[in-house]
Amino acid sequence: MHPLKKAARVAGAIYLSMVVTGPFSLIYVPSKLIVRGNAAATADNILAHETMFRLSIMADLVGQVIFICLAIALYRLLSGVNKMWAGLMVALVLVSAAVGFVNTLNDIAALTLFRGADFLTVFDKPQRDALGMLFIRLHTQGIFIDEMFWGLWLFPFGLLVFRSGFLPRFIGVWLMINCFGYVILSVIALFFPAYYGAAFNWSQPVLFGELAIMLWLLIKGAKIPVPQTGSIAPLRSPANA
Amino acid sequence: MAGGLWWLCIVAGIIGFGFGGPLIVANDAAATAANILAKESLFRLGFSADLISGLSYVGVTIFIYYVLKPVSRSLSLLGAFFGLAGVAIGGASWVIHLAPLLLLHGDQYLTAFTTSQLQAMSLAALTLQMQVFPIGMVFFGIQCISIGYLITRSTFLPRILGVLLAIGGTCYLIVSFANFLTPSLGPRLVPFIMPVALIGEGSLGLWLLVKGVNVERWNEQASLAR
Repeated sequence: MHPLKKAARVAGAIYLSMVVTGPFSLIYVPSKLIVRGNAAATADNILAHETMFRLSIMADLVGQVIFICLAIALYRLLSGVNKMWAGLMVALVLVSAAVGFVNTLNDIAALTLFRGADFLTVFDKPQRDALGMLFIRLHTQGIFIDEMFWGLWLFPFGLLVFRSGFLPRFIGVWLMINCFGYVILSVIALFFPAYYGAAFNWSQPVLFGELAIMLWLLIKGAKIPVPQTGSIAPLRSPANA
Repeated sequence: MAGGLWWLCIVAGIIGFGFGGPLIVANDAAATAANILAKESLFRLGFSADLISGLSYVGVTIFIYYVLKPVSRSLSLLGAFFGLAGVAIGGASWVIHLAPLLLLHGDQYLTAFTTSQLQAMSLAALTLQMQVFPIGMVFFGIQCISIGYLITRSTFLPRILGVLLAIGGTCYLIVSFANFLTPSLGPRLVPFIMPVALIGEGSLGLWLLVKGVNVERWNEQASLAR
């Protein structure tokens, strides 16, 4: 396979694995276990389904690692277009993953409090549950903050796709719009939390930009520019990478 | 562009301190809580300024890396990694920064605690969040020293900027470690040392914004490096 096409497929496959792990820890598990505003019920749920909760923490961590791998795979694919923008893309992803990693600590703190080890007996149960709930909520706030990065890295990504010549331009534009979608969502979540639900629903078409590029990379790969093969020289094939 | 972003970062950082700082009354959790609730939008603005400052610094780090790559690729990369690590450490404090709002809004589940307990927790969160800053500063300090060194070795930027920046970076390190080792002395050093550090960063940011780099010499050095 042409190295460019291969790099595109690899990036697409990594992207796909992220799309699989993301919703599990971001949407499915919270919707099952967290009861808004009710600390005791949330604590009971999480203790009853502790394995599921731990799996979601695990999926969260694995997801961050995949995100880093994705950034590197996309760097390999797109650094030939413009090294600086590709570098910025990777840097934003690295910081986002680091923030995400630290954020899982909030979930772990909640679990520790709900389980209530011996040293925690100085607090009574409602207090422990309340503290645990606080950490669950902090974890959600952390996700809202990270959303800022999920948006921002898409701007250099979209720009590179737009300029690449081997990926469709409209997806590049879509990704750049997707960037603002996430940033706006993040701002709404942090400043006008009441409107977040509505904004999230409205923004779906914008957020599908990522799905589009994922499918395109996976299914179509990259269009190989036959006439000027020399122009893609900066892309290293795996053999001499 | 790097210069513009750098100034955005500095200004946002100062705004973050300027808005958020006065709301905190040392050792008085109740007064701090009252301040935050009374001026909540100010508190949120302080938080977002903090966030913007971190975000723009990611851009600054990458642009500076590319500007200085011709001088020494590995050292420039080292500086960039220290910068990114610093931002990530700062990023860990963003969530803690929001904790007081959750605590003080008194959701139903928090009634397990008394108001004064919640206020104490929120001041603890804020104090913890302030401690993250000097930790990240160690990394920014090392980044500034490496960038400063690279500038003095470069042909396309004035040496004095590099010297100032390296001095600024050293100041960051001194302040941070003074903070950890002698908490009584550390804060007293800040008013003397921070301006020095700001002169270093500010002058480089301003130079890049107004004059940019000497493109001819940059190309020259870049082609030599290859």
